[in-house]
Amino acid sequence: MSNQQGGDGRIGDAAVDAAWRKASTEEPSTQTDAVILAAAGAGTQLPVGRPSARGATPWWTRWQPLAAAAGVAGLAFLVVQRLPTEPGRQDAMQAPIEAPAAPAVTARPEVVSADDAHLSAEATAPQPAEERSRAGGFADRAPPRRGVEIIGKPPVAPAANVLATPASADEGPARQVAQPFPAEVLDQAEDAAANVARKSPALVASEQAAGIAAAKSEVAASEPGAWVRRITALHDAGELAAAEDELRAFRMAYPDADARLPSSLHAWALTVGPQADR
Amino acid sequence: MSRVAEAAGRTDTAPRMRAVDIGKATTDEGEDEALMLAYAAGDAASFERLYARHKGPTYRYLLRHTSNRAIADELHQDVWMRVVRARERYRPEARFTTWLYTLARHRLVDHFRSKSGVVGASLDDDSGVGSPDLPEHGSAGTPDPLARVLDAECGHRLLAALRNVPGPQRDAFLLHVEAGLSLAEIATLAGVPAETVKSRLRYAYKRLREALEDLA
Repeated sequence: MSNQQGGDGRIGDAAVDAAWRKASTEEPSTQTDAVILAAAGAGTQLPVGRPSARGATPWWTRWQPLAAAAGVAGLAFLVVQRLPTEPGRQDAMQAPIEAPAAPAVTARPEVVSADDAHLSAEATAPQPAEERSRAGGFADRAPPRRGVEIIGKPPVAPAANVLATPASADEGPARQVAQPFPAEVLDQAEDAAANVARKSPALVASEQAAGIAAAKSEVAASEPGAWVRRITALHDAGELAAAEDELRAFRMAYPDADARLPSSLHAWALTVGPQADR
Repeated sequence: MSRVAEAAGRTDTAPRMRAVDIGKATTDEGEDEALMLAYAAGDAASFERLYARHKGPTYRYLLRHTSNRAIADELHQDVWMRVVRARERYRPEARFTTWLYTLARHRLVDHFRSKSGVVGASLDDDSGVGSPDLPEHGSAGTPDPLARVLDAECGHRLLAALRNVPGPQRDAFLLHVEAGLSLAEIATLAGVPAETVKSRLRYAYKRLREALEDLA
């Protein structure tokens, strides 16, 4: 026996190798061979690089997720496109616009008709309910009506002013005058309401509230009583120029403006001409 | 076509060569790889030839480690099933034999891990405890009855001696003598330096030689 090492680094012993060849001759069982060869043969029946389960899948199943996503997106687009055109939704958006006008008319009972006798009966008891219905719909606004407002009463809501006629308690019978400003304000409010009706509900609500508040403040500022108080305050503060400007504007809106002024300002009002002396 | 067809068309009538017979590779250089590529391309006959060449060495490699025919059969089947499943991923970057015994070795490691309670049942176990499942030995073709007895006795001693060889040395010996792997290939497969493999082989040969000394 001799130890041997080949040129490629092999180590061996001829006697041991020969004895090993004779001793180690086992083979796997024929059953194992059959199983392995059957599996190998079955493996060649399948397409290379594609397991059987995946190969049985139809080609279009790969596009299923994409098709589902496209369908959902299309459906969502259609829903979004349909939302603004729904009539029920527009009605729902208009309703809040009309509602705030109604309470303004409810203040109407405070307006006392001084000439109930010579005015028709509709100007008395049924008037609040009727006007409430009129104020509820802006498009349904009728030509300016006549009415009487007693000076000294607190200013009423814009809708009530449409019907109010400037007059003073110490003037006796009520005077019929034109009322251009409140009508413009209501027109603007109506336009604004029509605009916001096409907007989102949240935006509509906020803009509606802001618009109503602005209209109220504008109307309140144009109230004869408020005008008189403002002119009086400016006059008493010594800001005569501003007081004169206010008086001229007051006259433009109310031809009987001088009569509405307190008696202490009548003398001063006579000195105020139609145009400022500049 | 050339190498694959050549390998696929080659008959397997030549007597099976053992690694120790030729001193180096079991087959011609690249023939196994060509057969495996032919099988991956769908030629089942190539696999049959490949299997016929390597089934004995791989089975014996597993049997010598497990010393149990049933377990060896099971592991052998698993290893070749892995070959079948991995045919599409096979790339002839190394010798087919190296790849095949890498699979076999991994399967053995898995087996020993699952049987962690078995004493000495590990490739890395230095204790050389064997199993009582002794294979049949003897040269059936030897006409001389005395020679047959001597061969059988020699075989028994060798196998008994190998069972007492520690796992790493036994693994190196089996990879060398059954699989026909070189020192470098065994070193790569076992993850140790070539010098370590050489020393393990020397130790294994020494133990086996000692077992046969009084029969010489």
